[in-house]
Amino acid sequence: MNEIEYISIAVLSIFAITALHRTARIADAIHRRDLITDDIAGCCESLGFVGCSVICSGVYSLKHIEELLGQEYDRYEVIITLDAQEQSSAFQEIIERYRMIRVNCSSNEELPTASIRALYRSRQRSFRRLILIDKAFTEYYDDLDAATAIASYNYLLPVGHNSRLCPKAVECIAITLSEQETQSLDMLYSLASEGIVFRRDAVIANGGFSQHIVKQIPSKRQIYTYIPLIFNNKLTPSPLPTISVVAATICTIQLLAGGRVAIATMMTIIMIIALARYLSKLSTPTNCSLRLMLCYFRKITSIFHSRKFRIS
Amino acid sequence: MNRSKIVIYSRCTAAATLVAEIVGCDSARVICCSSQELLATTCEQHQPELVIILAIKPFIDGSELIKQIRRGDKRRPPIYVVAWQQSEQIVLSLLECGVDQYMTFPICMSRLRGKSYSQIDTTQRV
Amino acid sequence: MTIGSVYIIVVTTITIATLLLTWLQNRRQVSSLRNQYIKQITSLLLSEQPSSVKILARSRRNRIALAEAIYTVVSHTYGNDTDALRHVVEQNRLESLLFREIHLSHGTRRARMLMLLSAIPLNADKVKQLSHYMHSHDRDIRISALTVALASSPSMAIRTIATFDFALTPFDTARIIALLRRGLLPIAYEPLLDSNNHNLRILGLAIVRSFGIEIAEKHLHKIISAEEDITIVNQTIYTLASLGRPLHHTRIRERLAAMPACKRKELCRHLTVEGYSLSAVRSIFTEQESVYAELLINSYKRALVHA
Repeated sequence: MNEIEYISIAVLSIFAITALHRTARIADAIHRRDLITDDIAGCCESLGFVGCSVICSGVYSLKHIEELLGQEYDRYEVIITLDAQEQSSAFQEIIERYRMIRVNCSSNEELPTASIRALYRSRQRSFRRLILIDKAFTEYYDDLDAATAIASYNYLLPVGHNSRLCPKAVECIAITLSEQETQSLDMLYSLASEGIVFRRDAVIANGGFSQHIVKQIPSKRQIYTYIPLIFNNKLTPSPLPTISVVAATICTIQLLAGGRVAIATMMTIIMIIALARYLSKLSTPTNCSLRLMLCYFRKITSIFHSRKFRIS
Repeated sequence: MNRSKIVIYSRCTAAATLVAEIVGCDSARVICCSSQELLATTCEQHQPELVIILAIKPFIDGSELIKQIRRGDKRRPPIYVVAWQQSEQIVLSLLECGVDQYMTFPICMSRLRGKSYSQIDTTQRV
Repeated sequence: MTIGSVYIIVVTTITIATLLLTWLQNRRQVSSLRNQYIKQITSLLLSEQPSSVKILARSRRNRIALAEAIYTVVSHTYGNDTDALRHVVEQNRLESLLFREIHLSHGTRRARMLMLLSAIPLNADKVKQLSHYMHSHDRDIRISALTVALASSPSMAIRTIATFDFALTPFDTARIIALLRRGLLPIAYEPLLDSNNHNLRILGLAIVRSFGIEIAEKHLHKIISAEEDITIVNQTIYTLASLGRPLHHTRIRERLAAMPACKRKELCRHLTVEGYSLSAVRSIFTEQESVYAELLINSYKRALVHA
């Protein structure tokens, strides 16, 4: 029994230390974000010509587009790929709201998969950062490829239907990328949240987006940050099943390893929840949502995260 | 005497407080709003002589804030924007949206105060 | 006591500490104290008789809030009465408080305290005590220490930047330009562009871009012709582009020809966004690259014929 207890406590300790370490790093990164974007205001207009194109698949709600366009960084654009035949009403709504007109669009040799039906830009200067692509939907990787072909800036941030940008995400991306000496990094990913920023040329060199793109980029050309970039807005907790699963796990542990290990497991879970709550409070004090908290919870607990590229 | 009203919108309370103190005086009442919805409602209720917005976000995201501000007020209150952005595109965008005056931070306190006083004076005379 | 019990006690303690921190985080959001001081400082600076306005902060928390308020006012405005601010700083002994906080803290907090100090009128001799922070491995600390040094002795600015050990990043230059915009430093771009120091040249180019100084064109051409550092050459070409100047000069074309293909493509996209015409782009790129540019530029024009 003692041996099982020792092993269990050792495993729990690893989890707890990893969670604490990750929380400390994320908290530090959030403090830094607040310092460089809020306190030192007015320094984030156009940093070293670093530009970022947010490329979207499955984004059609006007509220979501408003949120994406609301970033005040200067060298920034939002490219939305939508199937005008499948989602004609949403497509029309976007065209009317943002006063978009159809512009010339020729096939791009860089990404042959990016077959675009039509391209739209706004006739109003204030919405010139919005680009709308009409493309038949096959899979979201193809949507992202089509947006990549049109993107004007060197860095791409893929965004899905349920992805929401964290506060000051684009400014943080621009600052982080402009701080790199070589300025030709292929990938920036966040260990605090979801979201991967790719260099456009790296995506094209790898033949466009796929689930293996992260593995295809050499690790020495990747950097990570603890600053939160994107959180998943769909993570809706269903309390009853979650509590049932946790209770069942703790009961099993009690049967197998004894009461003390079960209490230790429960306390570890409570500690991780407290850490996630602290981070979400730190990140957006005015809007400390449960979804954001769950996003941190997932990140704190995901020690062995998947290397497959997906958007939510 | 009927005091004139100035409405300030900013998500950053510190900047809003600073500008409120600069433009506020005995003859002008300053109301600060921290959300776009609150700004639209306040403008509709109080019909201000001047609206000062300390962000460019409402003009570039398609939320049609100016329309909301001026919808309930036939006098078309002047809108000043004070922000950090220097880019020519941004400035032109704001003017295209119907902004009357754009100023960049850092600002000269006495200049902003003078501008707001003369604007209120003009609006009241009209 | 078994190892399991020890673990439970430790984890419980950490959980309670985290919950306490979260609660403290809630309390920290109350910025009314700082806003109150912002009002007082603004009144002081706008007052015709500044000596009649008294601003007092007694506790450490109040004094930090006062320092934050001074930073907010100073960073958002220019042309203020420094003597009135100096009087408030001396009256509340903010200088000694911030120095102590800087020495006792570390990381982002130290950088933040240095940032607050940069807004306070300081004695240049005292700033020498902070010079070692300019060599810090923490990027934010060293650049904040640099801004303190620049703000306290603007006449020494060029020398201070020239002796800075680290290469300035675009964000660092943006922070220095913020001081220029407040009128703390002179906008003398010529000595910066003529200098052989990497940081000074980078700052000079950033000033030219930020203030749209078109008369600097000759200097920029000189850099493109003579400079060996490829980073500076690239930045100079981008600076010319941001000014909207023509790029068809022989030396620029030679420099572009020596660039890697991907960098040329990046520049091509940049010029499109900046609004360069097709003929302007054609004059500097190869035929194949011009075709690429044509596609990009055409995508900004209304489609009259739908496929």
